[in-house]
Amino acid sequence: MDTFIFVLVNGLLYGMLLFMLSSGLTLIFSLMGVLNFAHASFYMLGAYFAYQLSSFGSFWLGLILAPLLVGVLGAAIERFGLRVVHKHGHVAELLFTFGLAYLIEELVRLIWGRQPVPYRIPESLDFTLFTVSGIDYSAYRAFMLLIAVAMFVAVLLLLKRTRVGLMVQAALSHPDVLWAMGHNVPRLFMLVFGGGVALAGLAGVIGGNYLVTEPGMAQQMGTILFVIVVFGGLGSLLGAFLASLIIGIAQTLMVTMDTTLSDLVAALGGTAPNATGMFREIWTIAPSNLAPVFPYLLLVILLIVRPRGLLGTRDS
Amino acid sequence: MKRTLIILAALVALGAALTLPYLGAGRFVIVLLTQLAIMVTFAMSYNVNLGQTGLLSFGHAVYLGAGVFSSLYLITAIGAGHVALPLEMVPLGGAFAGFTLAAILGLVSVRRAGVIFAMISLGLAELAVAAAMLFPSVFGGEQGVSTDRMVDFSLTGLGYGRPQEIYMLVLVWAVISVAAMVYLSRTPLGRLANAVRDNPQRVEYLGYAPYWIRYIQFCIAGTFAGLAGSLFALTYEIANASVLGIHMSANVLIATYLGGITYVLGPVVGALMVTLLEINLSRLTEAWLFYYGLLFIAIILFAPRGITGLLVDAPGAFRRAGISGMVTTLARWVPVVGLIGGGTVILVELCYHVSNSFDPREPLTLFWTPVSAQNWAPWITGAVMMVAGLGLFALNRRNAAPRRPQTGDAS
Amino acid sequence: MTLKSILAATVATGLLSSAAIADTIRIAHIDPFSGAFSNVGAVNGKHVQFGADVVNGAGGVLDGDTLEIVRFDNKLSAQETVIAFQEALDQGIRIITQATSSGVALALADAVQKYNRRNPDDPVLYLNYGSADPSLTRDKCDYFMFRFEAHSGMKQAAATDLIAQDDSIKKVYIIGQDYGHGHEVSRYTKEMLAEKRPDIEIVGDEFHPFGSVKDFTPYVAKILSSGADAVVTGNFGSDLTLLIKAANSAGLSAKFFTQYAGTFGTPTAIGDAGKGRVYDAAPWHPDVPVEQNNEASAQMAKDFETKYDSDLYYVQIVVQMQMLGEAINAAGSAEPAAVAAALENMSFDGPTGPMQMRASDHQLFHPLFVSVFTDDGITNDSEDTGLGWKTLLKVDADQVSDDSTCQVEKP
Repeated sequence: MDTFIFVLVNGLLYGMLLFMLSSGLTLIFSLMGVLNFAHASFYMLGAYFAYQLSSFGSFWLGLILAPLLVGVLGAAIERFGLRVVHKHGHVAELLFTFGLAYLIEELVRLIWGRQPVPYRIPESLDFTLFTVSGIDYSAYRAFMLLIAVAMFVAVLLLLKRTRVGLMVQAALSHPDVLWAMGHNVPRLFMLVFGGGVALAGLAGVIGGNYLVTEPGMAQQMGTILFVIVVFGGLGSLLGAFLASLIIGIAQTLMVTMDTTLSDLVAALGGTAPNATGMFREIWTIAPSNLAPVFPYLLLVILLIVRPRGLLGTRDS
Repeated sequence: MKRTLIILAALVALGAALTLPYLGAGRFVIVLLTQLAIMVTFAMSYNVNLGQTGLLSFGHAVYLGAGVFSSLYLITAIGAGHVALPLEMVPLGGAFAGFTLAAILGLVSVRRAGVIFAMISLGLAELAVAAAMLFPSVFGGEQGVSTDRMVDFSLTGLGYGRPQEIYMLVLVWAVISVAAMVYLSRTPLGRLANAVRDNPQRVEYLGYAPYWIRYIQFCIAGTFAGLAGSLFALTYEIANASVLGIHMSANVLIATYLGGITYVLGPVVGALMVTLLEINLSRLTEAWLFYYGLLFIAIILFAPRGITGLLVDAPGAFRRAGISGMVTTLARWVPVVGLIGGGTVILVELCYHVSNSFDPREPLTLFWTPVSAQNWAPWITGAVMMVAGLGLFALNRRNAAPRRPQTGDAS
Repeated sequence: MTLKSILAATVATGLLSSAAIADTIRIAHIDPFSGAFSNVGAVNGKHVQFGADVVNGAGGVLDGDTLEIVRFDNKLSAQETVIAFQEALDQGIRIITQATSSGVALALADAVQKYNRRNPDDPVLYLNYGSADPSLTRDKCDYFMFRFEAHSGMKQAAATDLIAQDDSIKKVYIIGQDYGHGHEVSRYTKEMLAEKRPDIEIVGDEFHPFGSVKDFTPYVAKILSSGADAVVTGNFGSDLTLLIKAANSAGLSAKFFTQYAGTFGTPTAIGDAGKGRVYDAAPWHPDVPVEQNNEASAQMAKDFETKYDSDLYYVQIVVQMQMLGEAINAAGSAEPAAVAAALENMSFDGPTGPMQMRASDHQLFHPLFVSVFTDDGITNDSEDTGLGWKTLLKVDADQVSDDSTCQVEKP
């Protein structure tokens, strides 16, 4: 039971980290129709900026400044890049972010070198908070969870209580009306893109030292973020939140399952066939091996059954 | 006029492709040409989905992979005498494998176009890669599956041990495939696919089912991707799971788009350019990925219809501007491009040298002149060129603005 | 004068001049020098270049000829590796070196073997400076291929020797990447421990997906609940770093037995999280010259550090170049067939002790050091982390075990 709670808490944390990345992406995607392939690159930039700032001052300086820097950079890229490409269609926009991801990775390699950088957890948070059945839970993990929850609440408040937030919400459900009402839509796009990548930058700040800060970290994030956005449903922040948690917890839980098909046959009283020939591995694959592809399986099935996603407000 | 020009260009290209290996070109040129032929076939098959039918796929390499692995096994089986098929006909097997997989996966993929299709293709691609990694008994794990194409059973009597021989075989199949795909794009099916791309509702009102049109097109694309995979297997004789990965799928998307998806032969241009750049740029400079990214973004920003669009528009633009117009335009823009381009190259090379070279103290060669990155002079030169170029650019823009309405169609 | 005679004259003078000034022996180094894996390629490239410089600095080979390294960027793609191989052949290079990624190494080995079989009069020598995959000197062993670093099975033999000596270890948990290398490490560990310490219980044998796990805490929780005293892993790069960081954060106090904790970037990334608990089986670490009181190899490591501002990791690459130099001298020429014959049974007095090339499978046997990551009693730290490696067990070349029964076939 204790282990189960531990796994649950872990899955929650992983899910929240995913959500920090996917929340910005889902806003950008739903509003602008841009599948931002460079989103994880902004996550990486957040980590590197925070590393640089923490080597000048303290971790806290990076925590505040790095996401802002990433946001400003993102807004500039939207203003001078994406906006120009916008009229050429969504594929062009997508490929633009594709090229951007290339460039950012090369730039990071150019500036900070090819090896991982020593971006460390601040000493004030580097202690064990509590222990559950022999497993330590570090204070930094609790801190990450705290930041993620604070971010979620802040974004929700921003969307529900501010004028810009209301505009974003309106644009999410009825994009055409906002145009017709004469609002400054391009500026809204710039704000949303800047804000969205700033959230990814924040995830980089708190994730970079917990994980590893290296030029490959954006690529390693892979396409899982798109899965969350599409799985959660277009235009739904809550959908992205649920999808992040489901995927985070499911992946973590699957890791603990070791039962293979031959175990199953044995448990049912049969004898597993002697594994030879092609596809013999089928007998020895456990759910723990399948954890990383599980989200994609979920995605394909969901899209076939319900193309608008979990909580989507509209079809593509 | 235009048509004869295109046919002429195609014939010249084909002639060059045929004669190059006999003009004493080395093994590198031959294997490069073979790779080009494979990529051209693959990109053409991709555009059956993207350009003709409007299906943006992130997992086209899965069908290439089906062709690769089935062909590797097929060649081994021929070599062992289990299958009586001449080596030249192996691509048919690959095409069949690609078709079969596309026919199965297409059923669930093409219900909708747009983002839904793109995401399903992404999911299927990730699943395929994972499956390939989980079953080393079939896909060979990291070592991959290898075979020997010298099976002593061919129609022509050639052994196919030499690169020239296999190149000819690949070229023949590539030409047949490209011709077949061009032909298919002009049939009623191809036209209907275009209609489905542009307005599926209207097609439905006309009494056709967009689903089945997409499905057939998807199967055609899968078939030719499988064939391209076969050519790959014949050339390299070894492959592991990475051939069906996202990287391969992204590459073909980039090549096709940069070539120009609205032109039938756009993917050919794109595949040639991207493959040549990828292989040769890295032989010129360490910073090739940086330039590649820059170029990529520049094309997307300034040439929305791809390289082919630029090529097609160029004669018209020349005619409209006239000689004097041409001269003024060139006089205005050549210095800008030269200064910004030269400045960028100098600065990027210096940065790479300082950050990534084995020994930054050693001089590097920039534009055929050895310079030291530890001196300020080259840095200042680069920066000055850059600033001057940008200044000129702003000046030109201001001069050009009142006379020309902003159309966004820069060339 | 006809065109033909001009050509003939040019060719003749070309041949003459090349014979007269044939003072460089070129070696193609094929590795990823750009892109996501350029960190590996750059580090290896420096070592290869350094090795050639060491040989040249000591007077070169034959009558003052020098070794020249020609680098080819393969971007870690098997296809580009094959293309680079063809290009090297075109340039007349007949000695190739490569090792990054077993998948690429096996593709290159395959290409080299096929080339040698199809061109028996003009063979190519493939020097592998350290692929981990045992199969290269097992079922894939080849007369023209030599490997200069212990493969994962040999390193694991050394690591399990140390585990066997440690009475505090009763339960061992094996965790690795779900691909070739991870499975090999798991298999060897189980076999060797069953033989050396039958009382040790294997409490876990786990494979996680390669390169895609971000949070290892769930795995650490499993290790914790199994009560293991030691964890054996073949992980490298971020998979290793993340595993150790997660273990540290969850309060797991077990010892970690690794093969790649000492190399590029990993000590930096692990930092204090690995102090006193990470063990590494490798042919070298920065304190080896101090422990052995070996002035010459200390000087070599220092030279490397002054030149490239980075630790010397791969002493076996330097050994490879030195042995190549000696083999060329012994053979009296740089012809691959002659060099291979000279290398085949060569003994070498290396920087860490005597080394021996095994004639049957062309695997080099050299001393291995199983060491612990610590700040206690360290003279040279690793990557300026303040932490370094201290040898707990040295296995001499003649004590390193490997049960390969492969027998290369002489052409």
